Amino acid sequence: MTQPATDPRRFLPLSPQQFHILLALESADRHGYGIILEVARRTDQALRMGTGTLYTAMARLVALDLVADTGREDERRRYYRLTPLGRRVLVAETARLEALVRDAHRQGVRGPAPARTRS
Amino acid sequence: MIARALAGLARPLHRGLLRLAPPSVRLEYRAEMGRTFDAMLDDASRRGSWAVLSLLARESIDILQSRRSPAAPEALMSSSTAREPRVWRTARLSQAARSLFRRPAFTATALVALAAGTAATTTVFAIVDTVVIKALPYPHADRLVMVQEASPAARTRVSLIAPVRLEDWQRLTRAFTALSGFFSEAVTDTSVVDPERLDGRRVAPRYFTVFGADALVGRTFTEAEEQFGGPPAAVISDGFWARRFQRDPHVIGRALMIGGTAYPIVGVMPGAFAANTDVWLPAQFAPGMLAVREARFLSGVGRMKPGVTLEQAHDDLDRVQRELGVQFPKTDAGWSVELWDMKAFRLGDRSRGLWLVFGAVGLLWLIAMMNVAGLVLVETHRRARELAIRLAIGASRGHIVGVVVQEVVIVAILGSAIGTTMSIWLVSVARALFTTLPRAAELAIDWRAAAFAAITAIVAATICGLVPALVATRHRPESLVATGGRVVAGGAHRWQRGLVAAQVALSLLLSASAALLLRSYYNVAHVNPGFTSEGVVTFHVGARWDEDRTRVGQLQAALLESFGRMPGVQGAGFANFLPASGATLRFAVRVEGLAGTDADGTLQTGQRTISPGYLQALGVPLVAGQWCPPLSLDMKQRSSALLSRTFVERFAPGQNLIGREISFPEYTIPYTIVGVVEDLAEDGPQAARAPYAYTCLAAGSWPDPNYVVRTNDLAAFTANLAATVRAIDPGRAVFGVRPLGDVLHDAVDAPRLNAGMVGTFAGGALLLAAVGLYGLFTLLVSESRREIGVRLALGAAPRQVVQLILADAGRLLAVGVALGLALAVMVNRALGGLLFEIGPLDPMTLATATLTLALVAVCAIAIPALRASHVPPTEALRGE
Repeated sequence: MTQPATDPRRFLPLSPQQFHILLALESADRHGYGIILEVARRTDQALRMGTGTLYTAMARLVALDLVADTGREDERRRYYRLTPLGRRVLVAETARLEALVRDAHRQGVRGPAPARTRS
Repeated sequence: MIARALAGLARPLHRGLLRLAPPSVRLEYRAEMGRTFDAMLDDASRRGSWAVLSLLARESIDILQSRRSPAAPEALMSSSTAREPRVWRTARLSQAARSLFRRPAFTATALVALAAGTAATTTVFAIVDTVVIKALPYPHADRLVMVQEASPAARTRVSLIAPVRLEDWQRLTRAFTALSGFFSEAVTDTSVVDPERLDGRRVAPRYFTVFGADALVGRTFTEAEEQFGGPPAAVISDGFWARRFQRDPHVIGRALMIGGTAYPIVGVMPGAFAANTDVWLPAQFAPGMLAVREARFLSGVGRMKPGVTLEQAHDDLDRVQRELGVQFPKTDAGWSVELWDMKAFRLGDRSRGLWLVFGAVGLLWLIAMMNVAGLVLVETHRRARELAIRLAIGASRGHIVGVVVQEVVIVAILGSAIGTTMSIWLVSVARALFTTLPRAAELAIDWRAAAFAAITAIVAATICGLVPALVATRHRPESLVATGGRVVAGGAHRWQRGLVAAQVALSLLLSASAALLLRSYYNVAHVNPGFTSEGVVTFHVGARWDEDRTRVGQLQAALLESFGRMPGVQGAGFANFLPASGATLRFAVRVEGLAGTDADGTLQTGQRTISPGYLQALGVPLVAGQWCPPLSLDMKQRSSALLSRTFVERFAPGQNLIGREISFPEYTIPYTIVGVVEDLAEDGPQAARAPYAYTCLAAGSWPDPNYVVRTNDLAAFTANLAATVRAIDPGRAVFGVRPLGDVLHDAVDAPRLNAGMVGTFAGGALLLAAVGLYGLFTLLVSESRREIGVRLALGAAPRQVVQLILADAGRLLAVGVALGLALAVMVNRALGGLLFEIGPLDPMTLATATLTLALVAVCAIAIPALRASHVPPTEALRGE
């Protein structure tokens, strides 16, 4: 990990939770609850993370240097941001998923309808 | 509003849950997780209480799942792939939780049974553990003994110890590290505005050394303070420290005023050191006292050297005493010692009753577990189809068992957590309720009790989960699918029937034991004590043994006189010990003209020192002769004595002892027998009436007696009591004011505790047995709705259907009752020693218990039976 240009593909695949957290931090720096709300909004309330899931995933993302603490505190809550490496991993994962989906489409496999509803 | 309250509860709960998060995450993010949850909680509580509850449920599952996930960063540095099995596992856990939520009736019943079972067993375990099992709270407590002298003459030989002999023993013993002694003395502290009476103990040298106990604050006595002429000093108890000084750490050096002397406080003992004591004072025996070898008034305590047994210690002291007998033939010859293990001594005869209660609660717990196991069986039957499908599509039997067990484990953990919390409260109730229980102050739910609760939870989960799951999956899946989960009547539900019959049997056993104990308690509580306690109040007026006796005598005379003048008072007097208060020492006496029952011509009798008016105030009838003469102030004067009826009947039937002399070995002047009175329950209501002699001593010979006053206006008397005493001597504290009835009440505390606890458990057992019966027959009726429908359609009267079910239930009950009675006959023999005036196989009591059980059972079965008679005949057409 001492190499400056770590291959982002080393970190793939991401778990759905990790992917959603990175995605939520892509648009803005957020605190913990902000991430939970953003993920819930994006997934139409389908993925509502609890603190256990969130911080277990966060602990790992921070340890892997994909997410970092901004150092900014608001009402004593920590804010997190995407690191450059995190951004590259997010892009790489998206590419991986796109490739998978393309592959499926080529075989004629498609999801039922574009609009997702709560299960 | 409710949401707010729930949110207030949810916050600490979540903080507790966070402890369960994986360590690496918890260490770094705990505070952060708490704040995030608070934000979620704020939003949820705005949406209402349901949102709060569901948030809490989701969070609990989420945190527990994160614990099981191997997502700790350090563990994952090496492998970055997500693990599939985790998804599978978490799915199963939350599936189990959801499945429980969907069946609130089952979940709630099982939870209540498990929680109540855990609460009751853990509470009783904590009591038994504290009182019977745990060592006394002193270092190497197994080396501690109680010591008394053993008289050569008396049959009940023990006697208190003379201070001088204690010093001799200490000097000559080879088996003890230290020997000491104490006597109880109520002292009055006048360092505060209202004189306060304190429970004091005067201690001989080395007292604290014997216990090996250090002070919590300050120190215990120095050698100088323990000797005559040494500086005064006081060591106070934790309870008194808290009560008077609010645990002020600077209490050392402040002084108590006792009998006009300032006693500087030198130390505070920890709470576990002793109950019922406020202050320890050095006895500082005067050289004069240390010359009197007959002055026996110390209770002895000793610490044996390591490795010395009780017998060796006894032999050693016996050898020492024989040497002293050679040296002082007049006072010491023939005397020996008696030793008891200190824990056994303090426990007295309570352990048997407590083990009985423990056994009873164990039975109740077993019934509760059977009940839950029955519920789980019913549940698995109900889900037979679902389980069968799982089996059919390839799940292993282990997997199915796992599904069932997982649910039960969740219920068991929750139930025992709730139960343990309840037991914390129950233990505090027990502490307040059973004040005469030895070591009651130490009662608490500690790690041992918590471990016990945890073990019961594990056993519970096994009995209630694993066993029914294995039973339910015995069958091949095809057969279950074929019947669509409906089980053909007949041999079906053998296991449930067995469980319910066993519950009936065990409840009957418990009910029979409870009924016996209750009857026995009723007998004890309704023994005629030989006096009427209604309208009689008892109390103390502080006076010390080392005061000027003439002055104390004048005080006693003045007090009795002014009590007699108070409005409504019908009689007043005092005695050294009240009836049934635990003082049962026997004395060897000689009566003029009687041969005596012992080899040396003495008789064994109990004794009380009384004032004139005492027996009259208690309402004791005079059988012959006269009462005590008026109170004398001259202690040298020859005095009178009264005898109990049993004394005369046992030792001199048909003779007239009035006018003869009775002499006690301890006192040189004999007493003249002036009268005979009816027997009193001096040794407690349960003991057979024993011979007693009442000596009418001069005022002042017993400085701190129990005053008794009979009045027709108790409230007015107690209200004026303090003022009356203050008018005579403002430096005297009045204390221990209570109705005489309370003394009797305390005397039957042990049988009340036993009967009360076992009775409560029996009630619980009956309830559980009823629930079991109800559950079983509801199931049977619902499964045979079609059959019943057919019968009704074919013209059977609803009455006949009910009869059919009742007959079935009757057979089951009969088996249970027969089994229960057999058990009762076998087990209740063990009750023998605890019962009073009732046999362990009393047929009336057994019949009552059986009848009660039958009544409860019929009520439980009636509901499903009646429901069956209302099945519409059209039911016959349905079902396919």
